[in-house]
Amino acid sequence: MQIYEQMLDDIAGRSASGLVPGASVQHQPVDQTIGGTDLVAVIGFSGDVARGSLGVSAPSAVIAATHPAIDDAAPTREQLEDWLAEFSNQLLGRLKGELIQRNVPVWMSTPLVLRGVKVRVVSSNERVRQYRMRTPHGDFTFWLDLECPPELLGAPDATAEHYQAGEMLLF
Amino acid sequence: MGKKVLVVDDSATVRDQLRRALTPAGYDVVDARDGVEGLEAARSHEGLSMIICDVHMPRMDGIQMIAALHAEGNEVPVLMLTTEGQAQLIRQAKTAGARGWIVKPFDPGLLVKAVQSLAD
Repeated sequence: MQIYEQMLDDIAGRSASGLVPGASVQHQPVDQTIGGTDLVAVIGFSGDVARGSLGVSAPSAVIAATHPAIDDAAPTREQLEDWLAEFSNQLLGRLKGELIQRNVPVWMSTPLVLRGVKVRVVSSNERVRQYRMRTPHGDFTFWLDLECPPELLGAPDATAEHYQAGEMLLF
Repeated sequence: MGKKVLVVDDSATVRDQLRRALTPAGYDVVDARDGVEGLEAARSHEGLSMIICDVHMPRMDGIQMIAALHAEGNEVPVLMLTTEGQAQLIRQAKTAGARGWIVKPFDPGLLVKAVQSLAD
């Protein structure tokens, strides 16, 4: 495996695995069609030296089971869409944190949620990496297209000022 | 009646999540979907003890909103709740009048402790 791809997979894995307790992340071939899914959230990002987009998809049952503000009641379509949009936002927020620690700042767009039945990335872009995020409730799939000079994706800069998910500061 | 907390976030999921965390702890939650609504809500709701506010939102972002409130002399403590973790942005929020910052996703128990620390 190319060193760049391994670095990207490590960054994607670290970013995603903390979002749902017990989740793990695996790279999978990008030409694999994802069936049984209902919703896809797509969110873009750009900066001076890096740009790209992130797509996240999962069956409604998985989205519902990971929803942080629903117990037993069946979630509405709007609740599922909103949660997947927020999920993609939080996942990209963590990816952004990984990039900032490497002095690669990016700015995020707002997410767009699409509804469909079968999802497949149709692109000749070889940068796109596809990941399966296994959770105790079922699988999410996400796609990452990151255009960034490979030499910038090495070890984090220990002096970069950045706070991680879950951290709290009181002034 | 509990202390009143204004939640400003464009995600309904996050607003629901905060309501579920704060209501059992004795807080009354009112909410708004963006900075413009949040500004109006902060002006119209008397007796607010606390504002919890996202950064990136449509129409007006959270830092602009708290800067506007601060300029009006509104001293209600504001806790920022966001996916952002950049120190530069945190310094901007502090300058604008924020009293705290939590990077999403958040632990509900930790959030309640932060609200108790700032609002009580």
